[in-house]
Amino acid sequence: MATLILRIAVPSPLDRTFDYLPPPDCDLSALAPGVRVRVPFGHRDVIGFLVGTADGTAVVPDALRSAHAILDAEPVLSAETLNFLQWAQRYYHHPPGEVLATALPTLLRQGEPAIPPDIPVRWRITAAGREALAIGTALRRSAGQRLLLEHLAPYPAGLTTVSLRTTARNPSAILRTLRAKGWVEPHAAPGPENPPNPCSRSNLARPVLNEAQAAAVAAVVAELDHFQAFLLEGITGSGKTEVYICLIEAVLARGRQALVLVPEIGLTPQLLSRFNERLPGPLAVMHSGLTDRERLNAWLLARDGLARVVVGTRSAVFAPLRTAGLLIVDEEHDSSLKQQDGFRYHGRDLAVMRGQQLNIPVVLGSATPALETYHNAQRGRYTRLSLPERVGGGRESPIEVVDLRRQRLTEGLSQPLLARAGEHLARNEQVLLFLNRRGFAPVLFCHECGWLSQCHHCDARMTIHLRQGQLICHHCGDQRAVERACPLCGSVDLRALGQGTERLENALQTAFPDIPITRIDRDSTRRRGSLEVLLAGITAGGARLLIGTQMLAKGHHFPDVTLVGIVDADQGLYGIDFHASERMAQLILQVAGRAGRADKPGTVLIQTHQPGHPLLQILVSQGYPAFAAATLAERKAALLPPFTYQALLRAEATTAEQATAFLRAGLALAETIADGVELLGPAPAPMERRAGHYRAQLLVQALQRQDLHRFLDLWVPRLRAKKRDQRVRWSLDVDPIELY
Amino acid sequence: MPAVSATDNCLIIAGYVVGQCEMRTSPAGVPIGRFLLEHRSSQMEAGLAREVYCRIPVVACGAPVANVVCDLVPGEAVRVRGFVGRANNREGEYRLVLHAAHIEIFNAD
Repeated sequence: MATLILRIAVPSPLDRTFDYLPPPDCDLSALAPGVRVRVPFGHRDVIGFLVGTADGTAVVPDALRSAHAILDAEPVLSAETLNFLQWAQRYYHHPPGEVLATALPTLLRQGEPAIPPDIPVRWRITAAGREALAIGTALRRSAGQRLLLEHLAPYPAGLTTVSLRTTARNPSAILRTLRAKGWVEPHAAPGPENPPNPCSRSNLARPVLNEAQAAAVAAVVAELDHFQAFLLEGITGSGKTEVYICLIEAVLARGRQALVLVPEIGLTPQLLSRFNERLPGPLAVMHSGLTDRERLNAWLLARDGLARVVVGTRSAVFAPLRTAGLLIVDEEHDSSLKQQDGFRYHGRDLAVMRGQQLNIPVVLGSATPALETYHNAQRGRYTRLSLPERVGGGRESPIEVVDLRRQRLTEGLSQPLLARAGEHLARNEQVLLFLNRRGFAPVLFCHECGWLSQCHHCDARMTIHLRQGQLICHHCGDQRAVERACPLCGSVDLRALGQGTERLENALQTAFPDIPITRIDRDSTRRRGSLEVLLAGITAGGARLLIGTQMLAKGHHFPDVTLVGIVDADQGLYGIDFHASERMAQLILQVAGRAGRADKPGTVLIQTHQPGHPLLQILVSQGYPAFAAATLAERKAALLPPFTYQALLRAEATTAEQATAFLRAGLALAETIADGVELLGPAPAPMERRAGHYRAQLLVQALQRQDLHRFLDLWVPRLRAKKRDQRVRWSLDVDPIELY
Repeated sequence: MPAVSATDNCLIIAGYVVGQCEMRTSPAGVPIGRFLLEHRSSQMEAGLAREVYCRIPVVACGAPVANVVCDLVPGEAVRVRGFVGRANNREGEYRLVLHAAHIEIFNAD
């Protein structure tokens, strides 16, 4: 009788499964694909996944090893998830073990049992805590603690640490402090997770949907029982979140679950708290800012159907859903939805695929849809729903271009921008200045000899961070003290060239000495909880200058901001990557959307040295749809995505020669099978040297997606099989969103 | 040719501050002051007395000298000691600048 063989996907870079004998004393009838199996692999034990069984194997009997143990009675990867992941694995040509592992929280990958969590401890405010809150002076210096207490105050039954994350990024630390002061206490709570409370959702007035919102909701609800992709194109402030909430309610009413993908949860606490307020809990929240235990708990809540709504960043696209009813991708154009290393999947594209496999609708929402999505909507594959008006009837803020040529600039700021900022501040309104470059200045240079602060490991200049007194390379992270004298000629007359957010802050402090300034970038929000404190300062109202990088551009709601200044719009206009202008337009409009959201009309000023740039002109005068149409026409003429399909083979090594040699060999392997595809390169990456490695790439492009994948199916195994220089690291990126 | 030492580049010159002094701090925190010095005097040349007149930029790097520059006002009389160097490394440009090691304010009257 033939022995049963287990096909196991083992997390390893090898693009194959491995055959094992079942463990002794194993109930073979209970075996289902998707269970975790502990197996010996080389000299260690690893946790793999059963993907199937077979009656025979090509492995010689002596070499065949037994699995140690089956870890699950019920598969951690359901048939649906497994099927979906296997599709993704084939599409992205990534090793199966790594793909399956990506779908699970770390603790499950490490073998933790997949059993539901105990009732989580809840925290509630004590009488002493209420007193401290009432007096206020005790909390004057700790905004984080005050926020948390205020948040807890209306919940007599307390809240879990997880739900407090909407208020503070690291509630545990703050709770420890508060507990030490006797202001909060833990208790193990019986009863439902999120008990109703006096001022909770039930009492909140439901916003009335406007016509466009109602139409969008109706259109999706009409198709809830089968797959259909929708593009929800709503200008900033048009109430997309409200549409999501109504759709989720419709799905919940049918007893099904909804999954919402968002770009960066840590940056959008407002969205989470709205979901918390309006939707019945518990919410399963999944993102990288959580502890491993919290992620596992969220995963289990989703799998067991206890959490009816799952919200997470890109990897949540793999969340287990017991009764999936709807997938939503918010800010679907955002590049953080694409994983940029290892298994390079796109969360949005996978969501559409998963929706198709689950036969449920997928809603892609954005004010500035990705051109790929736009194109799909144009050719009728996605249903286009638009929200052309702001909620409450407000208008989109007009955009004005400030021509910087021959202007006298004060640290990169023109007189018109400074004058307008002064006017708005005088009216007790807020002004937001956007500059997508953190640090003080991007270059340190010698006035006497022209030396530049080159990074020793990258083809890039090191950025000056004046507060830390350091030069930091934003590409490899290397840092050193700011030089006192030029290493080349010894002159101490070194100067900072260009502007970063720190420098802008200094300049504005001088220009507006009495106005408080909030700077939000990665440096000012490094400490946990600091972003929440900064945001709270902004919401407190009053004249204020806001300076920020793209962290400030996404999803926040600043009702008092009436003027948005885009300090340098030129960065995106002439990028080497063809995606650059699309990114620039999306970023400009996202930032512009921060202006005048409430009853106060807003204005947007864009500073540029290229006021005549055709794409900028179209964007400013005709809006994003016209911009998208013009850019798509360019892409079509140039045979670029979405009119062609690309895959990028990247290689890096300590010498340029090694990397290129690998790619040349790859090109040679392609010769006889390159049917319907074009190979371009090898060419050095736009920034060739990074962190001491030389990077090169080979672009594969095809007019038909099938041709590209037929080619990759043949080519990738050959690449893997080829004996190659071990010093070269390579990766394949299907549908790349940036050229390195 | 005998070795040239640091002491072989020394200039002492006195005169008046012309225009405003310019103060800045390098990113590493080194204070740098600059001003233009105007010099007039009578000198002997080829056995004859003559008037000389010149202007030379002065740069004062580092706290001790830069702090002096910080307090200078236009028209003030100063005596500067230091070395001269090229103002920049651009090809074909040979403007000189006096790097101050010591600045003395004196009463010219």
